[in-house]
Amino acid sequence: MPFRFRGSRIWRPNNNNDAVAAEEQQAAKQTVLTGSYSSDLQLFKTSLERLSDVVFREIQLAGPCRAVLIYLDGMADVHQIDTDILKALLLESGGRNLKEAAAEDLLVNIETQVVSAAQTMRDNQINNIIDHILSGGTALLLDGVPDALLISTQKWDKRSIEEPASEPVIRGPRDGFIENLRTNTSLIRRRLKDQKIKMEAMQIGRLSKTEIVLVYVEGIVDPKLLDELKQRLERIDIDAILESGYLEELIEDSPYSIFPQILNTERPDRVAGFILEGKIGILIDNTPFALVLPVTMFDLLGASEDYYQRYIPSTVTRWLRLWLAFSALVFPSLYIAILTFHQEMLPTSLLLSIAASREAVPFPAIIEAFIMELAFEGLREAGVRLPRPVGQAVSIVGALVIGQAAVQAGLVSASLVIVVSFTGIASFIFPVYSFGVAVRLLRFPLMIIAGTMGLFGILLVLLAILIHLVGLRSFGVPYMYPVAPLDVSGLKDVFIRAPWWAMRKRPKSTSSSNPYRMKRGLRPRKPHRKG
Amino acid sequence: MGKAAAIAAAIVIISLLTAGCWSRQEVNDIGIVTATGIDRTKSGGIKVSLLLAVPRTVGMSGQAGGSGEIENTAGWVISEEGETIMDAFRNIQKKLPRNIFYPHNRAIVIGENLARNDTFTLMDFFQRSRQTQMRSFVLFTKKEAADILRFKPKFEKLTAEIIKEEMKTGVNAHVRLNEFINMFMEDGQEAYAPRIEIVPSEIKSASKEELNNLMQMGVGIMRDNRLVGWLNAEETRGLLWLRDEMEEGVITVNIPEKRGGGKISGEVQKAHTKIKVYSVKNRLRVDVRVTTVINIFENQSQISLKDLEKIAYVESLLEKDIEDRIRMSFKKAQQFNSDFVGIGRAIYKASPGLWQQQQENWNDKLADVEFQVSAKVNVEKIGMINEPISVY
Repeated sequence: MPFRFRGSRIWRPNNNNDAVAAEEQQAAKQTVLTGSYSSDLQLFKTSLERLSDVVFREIQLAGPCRAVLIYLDGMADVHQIDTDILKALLLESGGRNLKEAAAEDLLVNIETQVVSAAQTMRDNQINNIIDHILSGGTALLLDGVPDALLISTQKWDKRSIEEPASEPVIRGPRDGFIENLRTNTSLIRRRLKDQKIKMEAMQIGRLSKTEIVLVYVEGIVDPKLLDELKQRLERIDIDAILESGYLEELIEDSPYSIFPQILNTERPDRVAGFILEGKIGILIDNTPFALVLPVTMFDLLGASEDYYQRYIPSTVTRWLRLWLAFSALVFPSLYIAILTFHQEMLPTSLLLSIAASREAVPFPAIIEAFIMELAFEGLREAGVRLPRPVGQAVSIVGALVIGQAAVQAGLVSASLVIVVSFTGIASFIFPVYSFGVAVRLLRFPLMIIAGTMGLFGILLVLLAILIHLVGLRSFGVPYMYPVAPLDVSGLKDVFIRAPWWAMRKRPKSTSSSNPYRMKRGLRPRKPHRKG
Repeated sequence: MGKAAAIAAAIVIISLLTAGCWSRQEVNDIGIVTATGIDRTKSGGIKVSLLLAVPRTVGMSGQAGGSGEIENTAGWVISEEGETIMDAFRNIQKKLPRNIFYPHNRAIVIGENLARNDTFTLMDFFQRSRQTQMRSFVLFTKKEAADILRFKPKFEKLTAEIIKEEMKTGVNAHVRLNEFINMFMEDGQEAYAPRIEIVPSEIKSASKEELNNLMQMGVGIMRDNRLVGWLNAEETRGLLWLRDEMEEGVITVNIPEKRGGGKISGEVQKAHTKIKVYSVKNRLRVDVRVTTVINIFENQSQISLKDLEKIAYVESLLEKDIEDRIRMSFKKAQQFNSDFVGIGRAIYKASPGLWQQQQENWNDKLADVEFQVSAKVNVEKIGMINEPISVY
């Protein structure tokens, strides 16, 4: 068989699609309720067969009219079904005017007069009814009525609102998103109450039917951006969206880039702040991580706290963060490059100290640095994964064995341990974890090139990274904006954090149509003295 | 994507493997040279001594611990002869397990026997070599240069460090390699470099143990290619005034008996020197103007410095002292027939035409030059007390 590099037809896994389509066709034979109680019930029983968590509760209303409640145990609120539906139906059905009504009106009467639930609707599409049941609602079928009453009874166990573990702050709100979408929308709604804050719902995932909500401010957001996002979302045809990461990879601009082009955050205040700049937030059910787009590199390097602390400390913090971000990228490779190629660049006494500490080390600087960096990355990863009770063991092994013993044994030099630990600390200053991971990974190619080509190689790789960064776009917005392309007015929120009264304009990249955030002249002044 | 990525990866890997690691050198494969001594052997060859730093003994005292003996130097001198410096380097390299690493060389010490003979030709190596730094200091010594390197310092671990630190104090002249070469190459300017010697650290010590110290004592003066003489410390101060390189220094003046006697010491804070050259009736006249700020640090006389008039008097004494020093070192220039002050340079800057006429045998004409100097001293601060301490 001739080898074909691309377009080989020997193995085709995508027959699945056809199978799904056939299944759908078969089910489409009957799509609406007939009104005949027994056949409808049979239909549901066969459709929902082997779903051990579905409950069919058959009741007899006055009439005698048979009825059935179908719900999903665990997703529906059994207490609410008991008190608001069953009790009402069984006690009310004997009295008043229920039995006098015609069969069609009976359902309306039940909806309007009996069931005391906040959200109800009627539907006769079988697929819709099943979707409703599987998402925790309750369906009521009546004999002789070709409609079902769908009652929202969703209630499931959820985590309480806690401080986000991945983005703690000193000053600022402590609430974080949780896995429940409705709670998350409420967290944003609580911050932004105007009707212009839109929350558009969509559903993605053939099997998961994941609810996602687009949050944006009408009038600030660019409608074209919104259309583009919707288009990209509608394109998605996947079995399930289990986390925001699925979505992120399916809609980003440069799928091969190492840098995240969409920001993820657990903080509702952060999402609220971004949508006020004309960005769009995506809340996804079952994950506490919301997505924000489009973002620039400097959004990814900023923390929400920058805007809550006073502007001078915030500015200095930003410099510190930029400097540490850069050193997290290049510090180990500079160490390698200078110690293997450019020893003349160090002050004599520093070179002598480093030379003294390296005297007994049997490895070249690059191997030495690789051993330690890998050990550190391993420790970090283990620290995330390990079960809590063994945490101490890992930290003891990490600090004592890898840190101290390795130096004493002469396997690595003390100076390198300092370099690695400084880099380790620096790599944790990234407010957005996914961006930090990208920088941490880029450190390794830099180290290799530093060990083979020295500073020249470092410069080459940094140049390549820079070229990639300036070419990168997040939903059409240049990644390095407002530095490249330069927007001088945008710079006041990049290397410095201008005081709020000086940041009158929203970033041009996302809100050109409605640029002003506040009234002119809000800088506090001396009060006018009367008389 | 797939094919392009494969090609790109191949290019990167091949270029790393073929072009990479060129000139790679681990820190524990280099012998770090911190100072160089150059001497002339009796047979006329060149003897190069290198002061290598031994990293094992520099930092990390905790590692061995048990020896109990304090290593008093981290340096190690290795020397070899050769016809040229490069030749000598090659010969040293034969004896050395590590590569000679030269960029950290701090000082180049040239022995008198070599310097009196030929200095300039040696400088070619230091300019041409890819590893030398033009920031190293150039020094002369009356001894053999290797002796200076062999000195075991007390404060720093390395002799080179001592030399560097002493140079930085600014009391004596300091000349870096690039300045040295520039002075060589400039018209109307002869080179000089500080002289360094090993001296006893105590004066008239009763102890039998002889403690030594490195000290800079004046400068060595070149004429053309050769060392022709030495200036002592006093004359060197005058040279620094003339060269406008005075950074700090103490001036002590005697107060005459009729005004109560005693001494006043002041420290130079700022100094600025201007040299102007005129041609008056076919005779060159050099006019040196010094303006300086001096702060009083010690007053052993009866003069109360509260008084502005008395300060003016002290200023005039200081001025006279400075003028004397400058005159003294200019006399030396005339005596050695070597224009290390750069008078010729000043002529060239002021009027190139005049320099064209005088250029020929300039150093020999120096004796005929009329020399004028005037200093303007400004005493700004007199310290924490106004009146001198006195007995009533």
